[in-house]
Amino acid sequence: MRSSLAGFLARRLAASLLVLLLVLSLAFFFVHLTPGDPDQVLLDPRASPAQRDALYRLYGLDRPLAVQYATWLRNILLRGDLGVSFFHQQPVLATLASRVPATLLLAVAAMGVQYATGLLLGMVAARRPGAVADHLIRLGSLTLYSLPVFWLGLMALLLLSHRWPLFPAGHMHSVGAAGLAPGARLLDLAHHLALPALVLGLAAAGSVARHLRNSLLEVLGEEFIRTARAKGLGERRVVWLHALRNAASPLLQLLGLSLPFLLSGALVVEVVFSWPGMGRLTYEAISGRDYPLILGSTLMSGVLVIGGNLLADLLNALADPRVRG
Amino acid sequence: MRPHRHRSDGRRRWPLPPAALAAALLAVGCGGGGGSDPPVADGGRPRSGGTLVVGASSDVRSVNQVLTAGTTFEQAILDQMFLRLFEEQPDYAEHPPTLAPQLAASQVWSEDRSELTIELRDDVFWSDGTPVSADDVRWTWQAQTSPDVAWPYASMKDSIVDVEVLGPRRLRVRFATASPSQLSDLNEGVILPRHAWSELPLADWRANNRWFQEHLVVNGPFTLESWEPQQQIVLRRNERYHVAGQPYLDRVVFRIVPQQANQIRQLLAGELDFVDHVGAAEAHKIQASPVTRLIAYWHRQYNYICWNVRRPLFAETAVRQALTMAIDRQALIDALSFGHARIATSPIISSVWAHDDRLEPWPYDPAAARRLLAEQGWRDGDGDGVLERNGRPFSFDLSTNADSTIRVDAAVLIQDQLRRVGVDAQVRRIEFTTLVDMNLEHDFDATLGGWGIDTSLDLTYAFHSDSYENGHNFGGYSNPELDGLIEATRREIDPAARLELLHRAQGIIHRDQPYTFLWEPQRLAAVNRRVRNAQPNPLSSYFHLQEWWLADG
Repeated sequence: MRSSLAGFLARRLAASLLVLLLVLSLAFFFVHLTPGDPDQVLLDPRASPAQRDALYRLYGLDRPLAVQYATWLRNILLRGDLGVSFFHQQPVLATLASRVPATLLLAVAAMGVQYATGLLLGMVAARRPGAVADHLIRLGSLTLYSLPVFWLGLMALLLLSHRWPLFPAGHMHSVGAAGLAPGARLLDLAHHLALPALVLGLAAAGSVARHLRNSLLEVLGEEFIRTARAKGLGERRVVWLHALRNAASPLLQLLGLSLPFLLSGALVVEVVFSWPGMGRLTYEAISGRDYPLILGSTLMSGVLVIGGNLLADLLNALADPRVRG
Repeated sequence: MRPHRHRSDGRRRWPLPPAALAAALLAVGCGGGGGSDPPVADGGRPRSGGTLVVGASSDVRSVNQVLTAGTTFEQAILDQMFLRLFEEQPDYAEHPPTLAPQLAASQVWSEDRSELTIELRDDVFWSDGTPVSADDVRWTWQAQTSPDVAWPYASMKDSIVDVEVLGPRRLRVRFATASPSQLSDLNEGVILPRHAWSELPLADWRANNRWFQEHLVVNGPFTLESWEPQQQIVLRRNERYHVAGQPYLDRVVFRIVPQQANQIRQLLAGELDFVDHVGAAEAHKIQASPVTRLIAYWHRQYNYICWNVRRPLFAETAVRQALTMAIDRQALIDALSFGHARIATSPIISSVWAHDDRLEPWPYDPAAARRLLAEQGWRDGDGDGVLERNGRPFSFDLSTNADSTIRVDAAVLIQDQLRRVGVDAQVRRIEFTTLVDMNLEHDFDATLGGWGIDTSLDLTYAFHSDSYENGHNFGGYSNPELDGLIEATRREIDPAARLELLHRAQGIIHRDQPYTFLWEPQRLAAVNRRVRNAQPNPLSSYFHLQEWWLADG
């Protein structure tokens, strides 16, 4: 069994790497073919064309696109070198590495909110399908799911930060946070994290709730549940102990698939909440046509998304031997 | 310093004016429309201490100026940490701006102005105790002009042949030619610490930005305490700053808050002390609040429509004049700037010494515009409301950058005004970088944009024929007489003779209307009333920050 699992993983990994390479290559050509040039100096007449050319030579942008592509690919594959960010003027990997923790923190916190809320709502909805609570939960989760995350973020800021100043209006720390004791600094961070994590998590909670509700309903109709009930077990015990455990397996897969949603959401939420993660970095890289950094963050997102999918596959394979085939 | 293009009102700007607010308002004439709140009495002796929290909309690239993109914000921050040879003064309303000595203690020109001998001050030290020396000045010039560094503004040093070190604090600058911008070109860029930064070979600079932060020494009023990218930049007073008792502030926190609306909210809530760019529509909130006040000054910027004169539609001067007369510029100002702007007439804006006051704005006169267009053969033959000539309708795209609300709104109003004279303009909102690309490639009909100007007043950038291929003459306007005048202004050292040349150049541009000049905006800064002696001006939003203080400091 172990060898078949390993083989399965190896096949998935190889396919994933191929996908990643394809995505990156497409991204390379797309970003280079997008109108506009890197470096804002272009916009400033004080920078003479000769100086611009000199800068482009340093960046290697004066060479034909095919040569640039070949060099870029070779550096990545042979040396793991993603190049130097035009804007930050330091290696792309170092630039990204400094921002990944903030994004992961936000994504993990959002995932916590997503699952805690989703599980709770899913169970409430499944208890009495068709009841008012079920309808309200469906309506609420569909609404949250359909609204653009940036709008939700702006509304949350407007109401919970400006109208009723319960949360800070963005950033990761308060102005004087560096001088705080570690405990207080952690609390300050949590206070700043709460609103973006809530927005991102609640927006995604609907899918968890819907999946769980449907899968619970299916399980609750099974014979072993009827048996459990017939044995005289309390409803709470039936749902929590027997039904939930069986209904949770689709959620494992959802866990991996949530990652892309949370990450792409984080990109937007970070801009709204001035959160210093990869999202803002990428956003600025795109506006500034910082090619190496755009491609670096595409790679990073690709790795996380594909990693998420792999995780989902793995969990699924562990739970259900049939998929390993 | 040279002009540069404005992305939107808030982003890239080239700052400048006076030492004290009152002086600012007098000098640049803060006339038209809603001005500043009355200055708060600064109440006696400055108090030392306290932390000023400033709202900023973007980050800085590097602590090493030659690695920055040279945005106004970057310049303003780096000017707090590094001194220049001279400091440009905000006194350009009456005469070319004074360059007051900063690191320089004295300057002597050779008779033919080909050599300048400078003696440096003997009381300025880097923060590690090393004296600032002539070696620093020479090495800075070498770094600025090195192809390995590719400083975007290196061409401003083209006229400098050599910087010779004559002694520890004595140096001689040799120029290739005499010009009115010799001193300001020399002064472009702060002086860098050779002893601290020359360890890293120039060729490695562009991939090792953080190294400079780790090896930072400064000679300005503030030093860097911490820098969290995209979060905040914290400056702390430099204890070795050469002016005794200054800076008054212990710390200045530049809090990066990209959305302007958030900046205003945080200012009103007391979380920020200073915001340097307030939209005209929000000025009343600042004025209504008991904790804040508004500081308004004439920005060195103008907004325009550039006509692509190489396209048949805009090739005739009379057509461009008619289009200008069909656009009600005062209505744009009233609707969009709430009085914090005035009609522009020239690329040399009205708050600058060389502006030609005799230029009258083209009147808003739709009837005259129609007549002029009819004389050029434009008539509405088929009665569809749009003029035609030889079967071709007067229809074109008016492009502007999508991220500037005021420009997009202006374009829509202009579309409506032009329709009344039978001209069909289609507004295109285009992402900024893409728009710049289209402009540089002359791939547009008409483009609505803005230029920030500096005090060199060199009109080459957008109005000389040579700038069509290698520059920012987007619309391809070409007038040999104007070219000659512009070249002459670059050589003429005598201010009176130069003024005459600049007036003639402005007259030609006014007549030919390669641009329709729209409006000159005021810059609105908002400040908490506890902040005293704040002196934002077009040179820097944080001008003389070392002299600002807090009433409750």
